[in-house]
Amino acid sequence: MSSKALHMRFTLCLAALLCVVPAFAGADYFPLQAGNQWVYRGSGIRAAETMKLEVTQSAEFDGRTYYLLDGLGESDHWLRMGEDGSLLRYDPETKQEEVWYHFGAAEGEKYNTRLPGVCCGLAEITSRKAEYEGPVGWFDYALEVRYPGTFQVGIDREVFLPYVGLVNRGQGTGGPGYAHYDLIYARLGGVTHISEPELGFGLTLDSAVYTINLMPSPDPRQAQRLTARLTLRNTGWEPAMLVFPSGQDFDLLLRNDKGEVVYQWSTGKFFPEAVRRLPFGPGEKNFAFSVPLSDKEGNPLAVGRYVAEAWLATQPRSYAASVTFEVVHAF
Amino acid sequence: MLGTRIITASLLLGAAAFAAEPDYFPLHPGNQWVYRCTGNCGDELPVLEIARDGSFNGTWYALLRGFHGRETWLRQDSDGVLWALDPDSGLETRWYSFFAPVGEPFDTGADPCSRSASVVTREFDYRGPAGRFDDVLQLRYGERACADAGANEEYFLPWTGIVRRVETTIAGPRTYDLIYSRTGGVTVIAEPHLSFGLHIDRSLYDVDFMPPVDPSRSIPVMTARIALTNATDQPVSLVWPSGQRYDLEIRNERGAVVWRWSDGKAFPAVFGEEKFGPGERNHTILVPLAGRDMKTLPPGRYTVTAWLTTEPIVYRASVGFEVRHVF
Repeated sequence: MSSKALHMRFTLCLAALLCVVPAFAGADYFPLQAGNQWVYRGSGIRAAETMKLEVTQSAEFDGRTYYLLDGLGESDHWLRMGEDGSLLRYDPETKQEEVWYHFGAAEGEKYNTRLPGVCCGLAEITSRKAEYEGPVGWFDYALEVRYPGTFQVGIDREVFLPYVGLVNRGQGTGGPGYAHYDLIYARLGGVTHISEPELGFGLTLDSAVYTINLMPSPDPRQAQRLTARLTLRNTGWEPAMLVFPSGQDFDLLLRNDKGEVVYQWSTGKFFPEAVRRLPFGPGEKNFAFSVPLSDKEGNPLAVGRYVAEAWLATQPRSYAASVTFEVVHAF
Repeated sequence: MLGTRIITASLLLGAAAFAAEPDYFPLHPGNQWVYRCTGNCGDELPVLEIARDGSFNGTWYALLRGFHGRETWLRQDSDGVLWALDPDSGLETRWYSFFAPVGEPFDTGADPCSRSASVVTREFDYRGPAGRFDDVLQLRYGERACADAGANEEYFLPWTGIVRRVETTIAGPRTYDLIYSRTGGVTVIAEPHLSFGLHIDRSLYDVDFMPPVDPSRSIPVMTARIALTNATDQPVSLVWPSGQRYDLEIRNERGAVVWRWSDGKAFPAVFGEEKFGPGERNHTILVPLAGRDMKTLPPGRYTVTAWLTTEPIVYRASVGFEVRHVF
């Protein structure tokens, strides 16, 4: 698949998310919800660096809700989006607000900014239909901010996507040095996950603590169950080659805190001996199943900490993950 | 409930921005839906997916791998009718009329045991593992042709798809509730969960030895992201025996470690303990794909493993990748 085609695919995905609104009037260019995260990869003189922004919490000051942004500069910052599309920073000590971004400003109109890292206190929205091509895709409706007067040191240009946030920052680092940061991953509003093409594997459990109710009497047939989901995701350029030596796709075991295996999903199951070579991707594959929280004799698992280890039954075992959980008893 | 709060807010955003008829069955290739089954069910949970798309007689269709392993080519028209295609005959059968008037039966081929269905309401107040939603379309099937089998009801969440299906089987009733979906590539809905995963930026890394490239500089860089997500209402305890928070290593096909992130690094001997969650924690590492001798890795298959350096080590994940030399 060509670079352009791949990028178009991601663009289409985001277009679906962003609802194909013809004009992003009043769009949110800096979504402030607790838990939002943005991960950036550096290039140029910052090629060995990454940057992460995170909205960690919200709080009320003077009757207004602010969100705490971590990762920009030395300290955290309380932010809110103003009614006119301005991103405002609040100083709890002075109780004063200052403008970081004026997303509602007209194109070409300069405004004052106190954004850290800007040399001259001036900013200008140069386009709301700027083209941007980066790790997360290609877009032609980006908002571009330029910082006039920057010479050698300081933020020079930033690019934002509606409902996503900052996707690119260019800044001078002194002399001929110049650095870019490009978005490679974002988690927004809890449900929107944006990433560059990636190959990933993970294990998901439906709880961190499982309570086994032993009242009135333990009944193995009604054992508390754990739901495990194995997710293989490949949205990259090349399929990942999966070689399965048998008909088994996956396995999972539970270990107690002494390292003893108390459960293995494949125990007692039989799989045909047939080698399968399966190129996988682009796409996502989920294997989900429920596991009784009982030992080999059918008794409820003892109170304590356990580790769930799951893997694709490939040769070699390249896709594996583990997560811990706790079992408590209720009487 | 944690999941409820997050999900409702986000879907309201989507609904407001769309300002159009909701899509009750998104057919984007790659869409996935995972369900928990209650009743008389097996251990493996059903996974629905849009496996791929294709064109028949100039019309676009998406291939759904659905409940009970059935594969069906589907398309949705502008009137909100979901059509199923028989590629052999070229004939279409109506599955759903999402915009049909409430209570008005329509012919359906969605379930082999029922010939009609009707929309009961589009404002059903659904509560399930993935959250609470008050704009769910409830669909009820008509009289069944089969004695003890067939779908009874299905519930659809706008821009998400089926969130609940109730069916009768010869072994007893079953209810499927959505516990995870990824639609449109970027929208993820899930029940409360605890997860750990490793993500790298590609499955194949080319080392460019084509002249005039300097072989000593032909070292590709992998971006590896470690993600711990705790979307439950219970914080998890993380015990750190030192200032180190994570590590990553690469092994070759023989199982030998060829690179480890922490090699040559020193960490303060500071014991730490914290409660984490709800939230997500990402660590991103840029990994030069070179051996300890700083020469490009030989061609072959490798496994990258990353873990949180907790005591004990309980969050760990690995992914395979390939290095190829290009001359």
